[in-house]
Amino acid sequence: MGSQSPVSFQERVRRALSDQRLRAALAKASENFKVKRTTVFAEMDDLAAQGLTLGTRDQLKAEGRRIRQHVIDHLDAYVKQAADSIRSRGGQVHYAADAHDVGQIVKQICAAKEARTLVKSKSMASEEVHLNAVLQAAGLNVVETDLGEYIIQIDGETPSHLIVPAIHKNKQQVAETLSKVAGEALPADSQKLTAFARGRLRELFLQADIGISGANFVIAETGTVLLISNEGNARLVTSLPKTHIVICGFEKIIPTIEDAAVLVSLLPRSATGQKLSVYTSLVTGIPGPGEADGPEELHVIFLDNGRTNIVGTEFEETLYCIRCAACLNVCPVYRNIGGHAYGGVYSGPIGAVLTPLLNGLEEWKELPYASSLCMACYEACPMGIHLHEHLLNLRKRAVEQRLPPWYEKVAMKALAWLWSSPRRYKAVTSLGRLAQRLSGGWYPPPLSHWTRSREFPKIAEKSFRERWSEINGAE
Amino acid sequence: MALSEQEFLARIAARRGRPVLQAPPPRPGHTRSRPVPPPNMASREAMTEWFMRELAKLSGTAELATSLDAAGAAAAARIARERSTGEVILWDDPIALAARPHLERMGFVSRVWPVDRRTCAQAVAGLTTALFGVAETGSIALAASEKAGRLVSLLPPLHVAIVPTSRLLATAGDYFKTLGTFGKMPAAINLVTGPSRTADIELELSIGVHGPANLHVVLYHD
Amino acid sequence: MRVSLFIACLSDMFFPNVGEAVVRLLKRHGVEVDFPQDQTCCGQPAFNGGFHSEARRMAQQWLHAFRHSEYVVAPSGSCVAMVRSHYPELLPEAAEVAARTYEFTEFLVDVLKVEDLGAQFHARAAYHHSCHMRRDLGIYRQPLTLLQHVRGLELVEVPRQELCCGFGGTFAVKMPEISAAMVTDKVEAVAATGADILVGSDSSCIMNIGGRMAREGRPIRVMHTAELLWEGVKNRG
Repeated sequence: MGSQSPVSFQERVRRALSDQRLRAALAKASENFKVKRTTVFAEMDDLAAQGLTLGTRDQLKAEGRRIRQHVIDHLDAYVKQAADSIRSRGGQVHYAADAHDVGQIVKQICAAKEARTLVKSKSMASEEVHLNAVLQAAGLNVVETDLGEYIIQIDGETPSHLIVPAIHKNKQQVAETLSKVAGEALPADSQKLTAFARGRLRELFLQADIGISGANFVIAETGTVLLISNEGNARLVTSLPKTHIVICGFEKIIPTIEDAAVLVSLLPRSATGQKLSVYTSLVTGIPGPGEADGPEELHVIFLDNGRTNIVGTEFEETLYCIRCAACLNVCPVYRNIGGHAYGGVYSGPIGAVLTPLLNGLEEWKELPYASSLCMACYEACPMGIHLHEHLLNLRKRAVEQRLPPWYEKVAMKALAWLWSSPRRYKAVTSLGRLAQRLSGGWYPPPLSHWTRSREFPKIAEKSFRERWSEINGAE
Repeated sequence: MALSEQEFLARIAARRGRPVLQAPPPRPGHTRSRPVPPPNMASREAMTEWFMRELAKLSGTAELATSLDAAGAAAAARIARERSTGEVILWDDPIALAARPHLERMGFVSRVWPVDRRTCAQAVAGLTTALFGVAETGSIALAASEKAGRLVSLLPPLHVAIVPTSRLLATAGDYFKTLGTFGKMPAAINLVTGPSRTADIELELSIGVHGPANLHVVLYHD
Repeated sequence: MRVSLFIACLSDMFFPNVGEAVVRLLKRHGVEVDFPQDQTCCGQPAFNGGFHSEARRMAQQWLHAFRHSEYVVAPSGSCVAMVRSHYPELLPEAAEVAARTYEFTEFLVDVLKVEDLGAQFHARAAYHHSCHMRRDLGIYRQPLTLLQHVRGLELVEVPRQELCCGFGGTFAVKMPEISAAMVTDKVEAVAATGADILVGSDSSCIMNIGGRMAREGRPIRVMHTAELLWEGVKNRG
C-alpha cells in the first residue's frame, strides 16, 4: 500500500456520496452488524454472571488489552518464541521488512515448488503488500477464494468493507460478474451464485500448488496459526495444496492458547455477532509422517511494513486491533463513503489511523480529518482502542509537519488571536453582525461550505454578554 | 532482500531502546489446568441439551441416540435422507466405524481413511467422531491424525459426527483451556460450529459454501 | 452556592436566550450566578484541527476567566467535554477548575438534585443526544429526566439516535459533503418522529440540524433544553 490512487481523496469521497445504492447497502450492512453485535454481547454478559462463558465484554476487553500490551512490550521475545515453535514443528519462518520483501519471498517459494496456481483465503496483510498484483506480474495464477474477495477480484476492485468486501454490489451485479467467468448468464439468486462459486473454486482447490492464508493470531508457545472463517475456504487452502504460506503482521502473535480464548471470544462477536465463526482452525506445523492429508511445507512470513514505527509511540495501542470491523459498522462517516474512499486496505476509523501511521502522514493527511470525532468507534471497539484520540493526535502531528493548507493555519492563528481577548472577541461579534447585515446572505469560505447545504443563523441583535447586566439585574 | 531473524528482532528491540530479549518473561497469575464446569452445567444432560439448542440455531442438526450402535444407525439414516446411494468416507476410529454396518446395510459403500482427495470430493458424506463438543456454541472439535483425515469433514457436502457426551465441555473458554493442557498440539484441529455459510452477497445468508452444507451430530451417553 | 456561567461562543453570539434561560433557572433554585467577562472561547475548534498552541492560548484565557469559580456551568456538552477531557493535558494548571466544570443538565440533576422544574409545555419533542455529551461525558439520563418531568411534553426517540449529526466542529466545513450527508440523514430521522420540536443540549448540534431543517423548509422548531425548560416554567406561572 505504498502510494494512493491517482484520484484525490475528495474526489473519491464525492463519487461515493453520489452513489445512493452504495450508501443504502452500507447503511443496511452497518445496522445489521450493529444489532447482531450488541445482541450477542448482551447475551454474553448475562451468561458471564452464571459462569457460562469466559467473562463479560468489559472483563475480556481488559484482559485482551493486557495481553496485547504485554506482547508489544516483549515483542522481540515473542516473535522469537513463535518462530522457534513453528520450526520445531517442521515449519519455516521468513521475515519481511516491507511489501517488496513479501513479494520476493513468495516468488522464491513458488519458483522452488514450480508452482503455477495459488489459492488464497482472506489476508489483509497480503492486500497491504499488493501480493496478487506482484505474483500475477510474475506469471502466476492467484485466485481469491473468499466469496466476496473472489467476486471483486474478477472485476479488479478493492474491498469496500473489511468483513463483506463486495457489499457495494447488488445481486444483479454479482450475477453479471460471475457470469463473465461462467461464460453464461447466471441468475441473480444468492444461493445459486454461491453454488456456482463453490463448484468453480472446488476444482482450483483440488489442483492448486500453493495455498496462501493470513492468520488471525499466531500462538507463540506452540507455533500455532489460528484462523477464523465461515466459508470453509480457509480450511481448504490450508489442507489441500502441498505448500501453505501464511502472511501476517507480527502484532498478531499472542503468547498462549488461553490468551487465544480471550481474543477469539471477542472477535467473531464484534465482527458479525457470532459466538464463534463456523471454523476456528488451529494449524501447528506440518502433519506428522503418517498423516495422509495436509501440506508438506509450511512457510510463515512475519511482516513489518511500518509496524515497528508504531511500537514505542503514543499510537502503540493501535496494534491492539483484531481486525473485527466493529468500528466501521458504527462510523457515520464510513457509512456514507464506504471503504474505497479511504484509498487503502484498511478503512473506517481504524483505516483513518493505521494508513497514515503505516504509510506516511504526508501522503494520507486527509484521513485523520475524515471524522466528526463522535467516539462511536471507541465505544464499539472490543479492545478499547482510543481511536478518537489517535485521530486527534494525528491531526496534531499534521500541523507540526505543516501539512494543512496555509490558509487554514492563518485562519487558526487569527482566530486564536482574536478570541484570546474579550475585547477583540466582542469586536468580532459586532463586526460579524454588521457583515451579516450587509452581505445579503453571502458567506466567504469556510462558512460558504456550511451554507451550501444549511442555513447559517444570524448573530443576535444583542449577544448574551451584551445582555448580561439586563438579565442579571432583572431578578 | 528479506531480513534475517536477528535483523528483524533488532529493529523491534531498537524501538524499545534495549538489546534483543531472548525469551518472554514469566507471567504471574497465569495458571494452567483442566477447566471445571460450572455447577449449573455440570451434568451431561444439561450440556447435551444446551449443545443441541445452539447447533440448531446455526442450521445444524443434532440428535441423541441411546447407544453407540444406535448412534451408528442414526448416522447412516441421516446420510440416507440425503442420498440413497454413493460412497461415505469414515475416520478410522471405532466410534465413527460404528456406522459402517448400518451404512452397508443401506447400500452405501464405506471407505475408511486414508482415501485420496478426489474420492473424498465425490463422496456423499464424511463420517467422523470429535475430540470434544462445546455446549455453549454447539461446536465440535476435530483433530487430524493418521486415522482422522482433515478432508473427511471438509470435502463431502454432508458431515456427520458421532460424539459421546462424556466429551462435551461447557464453554469455548473451557475448550481452549483444555487444549492448553495438551503436551503437543495436533497439526490441525478445527472447532466446527455449524455448516459453512456466507452473507457476502447482499448480506443474504447462504448455507453451504466451500465447506459442508449440512452438519449432523449424533450424541450418545457413554 | 455560586456558579460562574460559561456561555460558550455559539450561545453567546447566536442563541443568547439559552444563556438567559440557564441564568433564570439556576436563580430560581437559589443559586447565585456570575458571568466572568474575561471568558471567550474554550479553544475546541483549534484543538480539533490539531492546532495545539492556538488552543492552549484560548485555554489560558479560559482559565484566567474562571480560575476563582466555585462551579463553572455551561449549556454546552461539547465545550464542557473540551474542558474536562482535554484541558488537563493541554494546560495542566487548568485541571482543578476543569474538574469543577459541569454541563447544565448534569449540574441540575447531579449537583442540585433537581429533576422536576415544575414546567409545562405541550408539544411532541424529539431529543437529540450530542456525541460529546453522551460518549465523552457520559451524560445521557440527565436531560431526559428533566424533560420527562415537563407536563404535557411528549418526548420521542429519534431513530438511529446514536448516529452523529455531522457537526464535528471544523469537520462541518473541512469535509462539508460528508457532513451534509450526515445531517441530511439526521433530519430525515428527526422528521420521521412527527415531532414539533427538536430539542438538544448542545447549541452546535441543534444549529447544525436546525440549519439543515431550515434549508429543507421543515416546520420543526429548534430549542435548546434550557430554553424549553425555562419556557415551560414560565407557562406554569
